[in-house]
Amino acid sequence: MLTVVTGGSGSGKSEFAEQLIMRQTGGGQIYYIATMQPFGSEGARRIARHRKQRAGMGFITLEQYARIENADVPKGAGALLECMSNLAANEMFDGRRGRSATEIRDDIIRGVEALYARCDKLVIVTNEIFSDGNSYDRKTREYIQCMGEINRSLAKMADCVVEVVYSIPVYIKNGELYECD
Amino acid sequence: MDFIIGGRCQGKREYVKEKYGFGDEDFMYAEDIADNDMQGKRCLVGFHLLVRRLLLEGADIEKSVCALLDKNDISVIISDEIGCGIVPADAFEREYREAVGRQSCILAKKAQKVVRVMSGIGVVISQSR
Repeated sequence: MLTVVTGGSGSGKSEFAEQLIMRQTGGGQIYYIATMQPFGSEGARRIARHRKQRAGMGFITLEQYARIENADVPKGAGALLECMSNLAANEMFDGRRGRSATEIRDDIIRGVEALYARCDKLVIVTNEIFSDGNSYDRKTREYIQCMGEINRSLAKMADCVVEVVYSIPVYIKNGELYECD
Repeated sequence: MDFIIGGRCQGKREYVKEKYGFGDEDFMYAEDIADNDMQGKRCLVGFHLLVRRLLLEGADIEKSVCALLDKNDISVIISDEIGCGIVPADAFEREYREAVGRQSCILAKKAQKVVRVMSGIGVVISQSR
């Protein structure tokens, strides 16, 4: 089962996703795939906040900043990927290796497919970065487009898609799967 | 207290006027609040800007908001959703955006009802029973 959790900055989407994968796996082993690189003190603070939030929940943390298919998740496990916007930024801005934005997009989707093929339950946290109305340089525009297309592909693959708005789940695909929870 | 959210210019105040029977005289704008006093007005407009103001003042935001809620009889709070964009390049703007999100999560939990207004149409996304 694949669930995509989206939302804006500070929306509470991470916390929601953590609770969701816990419920789904019901005590089984859960792998937390962290994609955020600890840049500077602000990055370190963010990571510390996330670690504190999920302390005691029994997640096994795997740091996988790129090439998500290589995340060391064993067959049949539950996994939480957090988050797509960092993964895409890492692939586009750090590990580009001469690939076009379209090639990166396709590589990421294939990576997710390979990961999902091993997972019994997978929750992917992504990010709503599309509605600030600002103008950006070419690289950022490319990133926004890539993220939009990735989100659309993930939503197509997913059994359920939910936007978290200030900790409130707003289901946008197959909400009936969860709304009784 | 009901919490009314949505993007800019989506008709949040109009929605509140219609649903709650409020007029302009019931609106208190975040930038006009002095000494935590709503002057008897029932609707706080621009909660996001209140968070920005408190952040600039270096205040404990959660405490300050609690104090405002305790002191006044507020029935509606209106706020812009500002979190759905690219991470701002400026550190203060990042902090502001994040703070509006976190504080809004707290308000949403306290609220009897959370309504998201888009194109003038309010969708109730949470309601306590």
